[in-house]
Amino acid sequence: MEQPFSTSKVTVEYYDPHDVYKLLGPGILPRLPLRNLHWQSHAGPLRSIDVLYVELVNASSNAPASIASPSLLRRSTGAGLSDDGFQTQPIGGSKSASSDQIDTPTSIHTPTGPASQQPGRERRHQIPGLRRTPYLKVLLVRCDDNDTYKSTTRAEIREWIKEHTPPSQSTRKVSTQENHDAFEWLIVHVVVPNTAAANQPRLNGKNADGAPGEKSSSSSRWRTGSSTLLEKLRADFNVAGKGSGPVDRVAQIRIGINDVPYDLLPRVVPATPTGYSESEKDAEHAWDELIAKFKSLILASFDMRVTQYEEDIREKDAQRRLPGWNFCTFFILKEGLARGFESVGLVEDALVGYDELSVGLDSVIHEQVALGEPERHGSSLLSHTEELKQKVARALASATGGGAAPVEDEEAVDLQGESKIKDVAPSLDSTLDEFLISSTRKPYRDMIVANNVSVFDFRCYIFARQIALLLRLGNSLSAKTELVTGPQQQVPALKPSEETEVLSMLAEVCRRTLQFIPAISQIMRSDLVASLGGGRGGDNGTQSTLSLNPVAPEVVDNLVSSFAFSVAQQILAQTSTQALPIPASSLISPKIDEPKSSIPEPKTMMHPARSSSLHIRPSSRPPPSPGVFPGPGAGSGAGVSETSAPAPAPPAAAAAAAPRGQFLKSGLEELAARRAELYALSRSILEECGKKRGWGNGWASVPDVEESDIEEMDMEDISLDDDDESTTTTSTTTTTTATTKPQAVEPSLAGVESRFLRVALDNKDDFYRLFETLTDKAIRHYTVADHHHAVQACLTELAILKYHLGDYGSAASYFHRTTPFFGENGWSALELSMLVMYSRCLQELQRKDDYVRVALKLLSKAAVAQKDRLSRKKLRGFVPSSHRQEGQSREQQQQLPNPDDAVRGVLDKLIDVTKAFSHEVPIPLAQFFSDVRLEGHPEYDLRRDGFTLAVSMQSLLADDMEIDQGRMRLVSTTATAGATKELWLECATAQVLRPGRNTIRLYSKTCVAGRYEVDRVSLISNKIHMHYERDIDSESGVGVTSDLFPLPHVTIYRPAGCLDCQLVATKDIQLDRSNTLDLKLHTGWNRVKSCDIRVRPNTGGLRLLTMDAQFIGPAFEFAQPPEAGLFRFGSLSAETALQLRFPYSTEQDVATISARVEVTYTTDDGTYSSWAGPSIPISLALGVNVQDIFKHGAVFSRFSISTVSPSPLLLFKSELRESEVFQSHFGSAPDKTIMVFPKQPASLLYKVVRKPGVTVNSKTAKTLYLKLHYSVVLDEMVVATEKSLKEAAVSADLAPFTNVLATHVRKHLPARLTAYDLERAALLGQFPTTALVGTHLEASFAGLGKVPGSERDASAALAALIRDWQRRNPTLPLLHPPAADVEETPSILIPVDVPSVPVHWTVDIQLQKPLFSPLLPDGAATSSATPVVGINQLLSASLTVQWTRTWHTAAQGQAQAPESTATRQEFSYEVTTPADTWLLGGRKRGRMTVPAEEDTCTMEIPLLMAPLREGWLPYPSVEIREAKSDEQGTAGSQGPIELDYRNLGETVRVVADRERVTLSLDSSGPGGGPLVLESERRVVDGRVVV
Amino acid sequence: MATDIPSIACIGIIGRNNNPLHVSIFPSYNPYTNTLAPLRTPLQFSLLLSSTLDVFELRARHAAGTGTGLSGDMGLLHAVDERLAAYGFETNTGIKMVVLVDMRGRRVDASVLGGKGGAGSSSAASGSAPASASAVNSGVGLREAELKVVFRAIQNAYIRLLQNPFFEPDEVMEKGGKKITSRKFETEIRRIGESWTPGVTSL
Repeated sequence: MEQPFSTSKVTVEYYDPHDVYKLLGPGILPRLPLRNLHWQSHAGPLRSIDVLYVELVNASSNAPASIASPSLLRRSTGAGLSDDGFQTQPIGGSKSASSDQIDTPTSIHTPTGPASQQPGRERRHQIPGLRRTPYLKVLLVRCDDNDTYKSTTRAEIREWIKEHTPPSQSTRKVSTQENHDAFEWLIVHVVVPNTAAANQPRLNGKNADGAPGEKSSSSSRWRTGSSTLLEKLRADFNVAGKGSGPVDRVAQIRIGINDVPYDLLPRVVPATPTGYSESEKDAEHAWDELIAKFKSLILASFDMRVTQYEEDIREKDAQRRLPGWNFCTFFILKEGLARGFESVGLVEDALVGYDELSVGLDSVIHEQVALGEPERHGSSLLSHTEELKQKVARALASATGGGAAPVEDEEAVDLQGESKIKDVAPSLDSTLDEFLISSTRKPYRDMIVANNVSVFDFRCYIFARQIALLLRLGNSLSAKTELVTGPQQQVPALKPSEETEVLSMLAEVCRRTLQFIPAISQIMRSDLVASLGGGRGGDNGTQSTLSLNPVAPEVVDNLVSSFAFSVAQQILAQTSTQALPIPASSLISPKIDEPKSSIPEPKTMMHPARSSSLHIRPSSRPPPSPGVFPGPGAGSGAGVSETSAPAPAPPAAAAAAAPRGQFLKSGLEELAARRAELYALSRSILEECGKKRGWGNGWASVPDVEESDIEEMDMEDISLDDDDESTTTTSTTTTTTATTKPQAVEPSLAGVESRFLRVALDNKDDFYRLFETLTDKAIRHYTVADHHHAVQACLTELAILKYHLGDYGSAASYFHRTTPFFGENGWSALELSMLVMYSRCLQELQRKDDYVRVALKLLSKAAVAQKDRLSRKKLRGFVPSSHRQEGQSREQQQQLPNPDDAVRGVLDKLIDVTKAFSHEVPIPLAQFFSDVRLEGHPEYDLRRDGFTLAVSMQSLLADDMEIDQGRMRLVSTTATAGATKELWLECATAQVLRPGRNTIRLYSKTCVAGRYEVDRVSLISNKIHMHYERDIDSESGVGVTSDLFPLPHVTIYRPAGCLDCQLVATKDIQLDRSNTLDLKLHTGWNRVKSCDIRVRPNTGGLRLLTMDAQFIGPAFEFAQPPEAGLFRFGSLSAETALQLRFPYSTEQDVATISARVEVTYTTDDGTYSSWAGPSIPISLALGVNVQDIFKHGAVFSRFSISTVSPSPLLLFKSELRESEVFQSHFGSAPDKTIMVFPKQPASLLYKVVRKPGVTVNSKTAKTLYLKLHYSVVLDEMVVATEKSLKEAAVSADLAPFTNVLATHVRKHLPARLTAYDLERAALLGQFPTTALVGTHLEASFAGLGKVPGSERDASAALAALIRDWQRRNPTLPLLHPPAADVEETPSILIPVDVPSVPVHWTVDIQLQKPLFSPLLPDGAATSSATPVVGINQLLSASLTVQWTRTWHTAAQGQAQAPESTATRQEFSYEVTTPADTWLLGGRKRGRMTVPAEEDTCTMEIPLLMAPLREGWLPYPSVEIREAKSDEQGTAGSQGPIELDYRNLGETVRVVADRERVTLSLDSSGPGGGPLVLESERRVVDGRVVV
Repeated sequence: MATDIPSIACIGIIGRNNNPLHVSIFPSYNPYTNTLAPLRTPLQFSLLLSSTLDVFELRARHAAGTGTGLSGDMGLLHAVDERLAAYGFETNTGIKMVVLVDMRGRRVDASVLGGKGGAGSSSAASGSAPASASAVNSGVGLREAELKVVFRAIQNAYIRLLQNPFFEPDEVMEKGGKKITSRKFETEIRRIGESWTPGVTSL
């Protein structure tokens, strides 16, 4: 049997025959542990060992210090004490937590007994690595002088060496197995002061050279004397090594005189003192040398061992396939290596070793199971654990026997509680009843060696070792404690950096635990089952109780759960660190603490405050942990807080942890997350246990709103409650058969060994408290770890628990946090359920506002879910068509499995709650309804002016909903700017919207033709206002597939027969008056009781003078006098037409004006309204120019009439109306209509004569009016088409659409006709109708719906009608109105002013007759118009100047003073002519006075004219100018004068009067012409020739 | 004598924005009532799936930092309790697949093979449960590699879903997006979940 030893230290054995260790010890201990070692592994790189813990063991007594109390003395204080003042072998209980005990359990309790160890070499075990052997053996020699050395000491040393020589040193024959325990040896010569040896120098320089093993450095230092003791020792015992040269195995330490206890000090001073004394520096050097030797020798032996181990392992590994290979042996071997690594501080390497072993175990088990031949390896792992077997047996006994109290039962099952395993913290002693994972809990190694280990134990052992190593790596509190429990002198040597934990390593511990627990649970379960079933081996007599005892599975469950729970708690305890700042109460809203404060929290069940309170008083209220939970709950537990052990996390430390946590340590999050998972795992276990007892966590009652896919499978829904019942009934029957206890309803606690778990399962309150605490812990850790999802998940669990327990306030606050989180991320199923619960909480709490908010959210989310469901069904063809009507929606509803029970009723409650609200609660329509669309087309009431639109919508609600009011707004898409055109449709009566498809019919009494789209819908039910607004931006987005009004467009027309109100420009225009508009009203089929017509201008600057309105045609009475823009009428019978005309004015010239006409009229059916916003063209269709030609007695006016538009004009009739002053005459009127083309204006000539005897004054109407009756060809065509089409429509039973057709014609025909078409139509008198038939005929009528009274589609019918009509009427004649109807055509009345001419002159030059024409032989006077005269013939003429004031029609006295109108005017005349044309004689110039009063006067002035050259000579021109009179210079001109020069264009033909001419024919004349040789003038009588 | 072997309790597919795309729940064997029933309610499964997302994030961050973990296999995410454990896989497009394994989800009758204890087994469900199923039972535990085949199968199913031209990934991917509604996909996932037992090499 071996001594327990720590695996993390290196053992150094010392032999102390001279009892000098007590002198040496104080010097050597402070220099431990060894630091900064470097080991060159033969395989790997250079490994650095920072700290090597060394354990000094006395080989002879083996445990001298273990008896002594571990009093810890410093070197300075150690002097004088009888014992050696340090602890060499700390086997005491304080460090046994990590020490390995291969012993019987009883010996664990008495570990301090010095085991007898035979001196000398012990027998080597067959399996290496099992024992603990020293790495270094040290012989402490006291030799005071050379003589003693020679006589005795040398022999002693030789003896010792012989006895203890390491095999490698002595002989090479020893089996290599010995290398597993390889060690080195060292001789330390302890020199006691006041001896001869002390007076010697260390080395003699002379001998130093001869000594083979000494170092040159030391030899140079000591110069004196002959060979010293040291030299002798070296010479004797430094055996030269083979390869590496001699190894110095001798060291000398001189003990200072002060360090030696007085009684030990030799009294006798040697006779020959050499006077040598050692300085402080020398002493220090000697110590260093010793330590260096320690290091190198330890490493040397370690290296040897490792090499050997590795060789062996390779060998064993190679034999793996051989039969008989034993994994256990291999394990022990390999573990030896790992332990070696651990000893020297290479913990990582050790961990790797264990990991490999773990994998190896896996594969072994795997093979064993797979092949079913465990014997192949010569060994098998046990299928069950004896200990577990006992446990389960006891548990079964307690469960079925019922007699034993559980607690006693547990005491009896002494598994872990009684062992004196120390807690990680020394102060937490004896509280650990459940440190299940510990390598020392059982003699695992013995069991492994004995091939008597179960899988369960094996796994536990490996895991424990791994955890221990990791904890050491992680520098956790527990591992540290273990290392320093021994020689506490080492504590100050710890570097500061080592005091902090490596969090990532701790996290690794947790991570491995998380993997370990499920695995070990599984193993344990099968282990238990195996043991219950009698085991594979069948060696046990226990009959299978598994099948017989119904409690058995439960006990197994309990055992496993308990084990897993305990492991989790243990690891949580071991990995707790102050470096992990856990927020205290930030997660919990204050109101939650209120109920808690009355209930003590079982915080102490949690680590680190695992206290004995549970152990002592399992049912008592556990005290809260002051450090971890400084919440309000802490006060209640203050009374029992003395039982809590605050050492690991004292309040101050916990408080200090908070600021430290502000900087993130590496691995912090990881650790927190892992710990949180451990907590969550614990909670899950607890939850499972609780479930069996019917203490649900609330999930069973959670409403599942979302259908899951499960329901599609044929899987009946087995609720968890049923589960529980069946469980409990099972146990009930069991227990009732066994016992008669009434509490047998509860499942057995048997097998639940974890005390926390047992307490928690004891009663319901504790259960929930623990559950809550664990969850809370998990939340906090998750928060630190920044795991949002997990935090939310935990919060949800808490919320549901609270809800389940009826703590609605807390639940609501949790729900408040979690619900949006899951909602945002699309976990709609979770969100929905939570919303249901949340709303119930709020309802309980009477928080109405919140309730409404949440309930609305719930409803909408439920609606979304319902929608998803529907769409999925639709996708799968469950709902064949969405065009079902009311009746089918019921059926469809039944078809759906309805998961909405949870939501049912919420709506009614919501409506109830909101009834009290003062404000409306707005909800988007889309939240409750889907697939909202317009159903069909607008339907028009017969003989009424309204229309109905049906809206169909899919209600996603679970309940019926009653709608009080429904409204819908249509907005015209063709609206012009400024005028928003909207129609409101309303729901006639309250309606109930059932789940499924509903149709709401909305009615509007306003009917205006046009294209509309749905803009707004609102449904109001009490205070709940569901609304829909069309997003203008989304219109363009085609990709957005909204199921709300996917096709929002609607076309509305006014059927023929409606009340019709039009505003048009008057067709008769009078240019000098303000223009007028005609308001035409046709009541159609309406018997109007009252009617208001409101007219408003829409064009800027337009003023409508409605006050001046007058009736055209029959007059009606206004109900009230018209106001500005408003006409009110009383009752009008059906089919009444009235027409009002009122003028308007515009500020600037515009081509069109726009006005809005609104008609509101009441009939028997109610009040209707309509409006129109026509755009009225007011530009003139023709242009007229006039040219006046004044004559003495008449004015000739020529009117030129042109068309303004490209369309030709037809001019039917013209007339110049005479005025008071003037009279007009026209020639014979043309018998045909005059056509005016754009490039060919018509010309009309009128003669205007002044009426005689009419005096002009200011009142006199002088203006003439030109009246033209015309029509534009285009308009003619439109009218003709309209008329023809209307007739066709009526005959085709499409009479209601005449308005639509007319609009269509008006819109399309002008657009499609070119100027050429128009010209052609005008010329031919007919036009083709093809222009009306476009390709998009149907499209332009789309949306009209059905033809009333039939099922025909209106658009198709209309298109067909037009096509048919066009086929029958390929051309249409232009309708020229008959003569009688000319007056009906549009007319224009143009005022024509005759300009006022103050004085009109007529000038005439008359040649006096008879004229002697030279052409006539007899000289007779010609009567022809053009006189012919000879050249130079003297002509006498008279210039007649005539003036008149007839045309002076300016109103006298209008502009000027009366006297000035009659002023005399002086004029001058002058007859001028080009000088070479005429020779003029007479008064060529003169002055004339026109008197004021005279009207007309004629003067004759004689002139003589002689033509000067041949040709057609014009008459001389006469100019008349107003002369400035000197005396009346101020009179000035009175305007332009008109001069009618009658001779304009007249000529006189002048011929040469030669009778005979002789020419020479040669070109000798001037200029090469013929030369006139002789000429003879003809002489005519009476002719005077100048 | 019957032994329990692991089975899949739940398969969850979670989108890039942490929105659930698909959740399939499989019943576990309940020895008390001798019935098959899901271990938890669908909502609890949802919650469990949701709480694994943190681990994905953490691993993704870690993988991005170190440049490792390109395979997407996340291994064990979360040991829920001694029965349930969550394993995860993340595609490079951010689709996360979580498989919750119930360590005792299925019961096989080991006595069929003649009383060799847990050694022999024949799966009632699949009939092909190899020996590793019972190896799990005997203490090796479920290795993460055992689930690789599941993830591969799920990923294949998802890829097939993506290949469907009528499937709109954007609809699913966007935040708060819809769930996968493909019936074929659901059937496939269901088949995977039902046919898996430890040790199967192809699904």
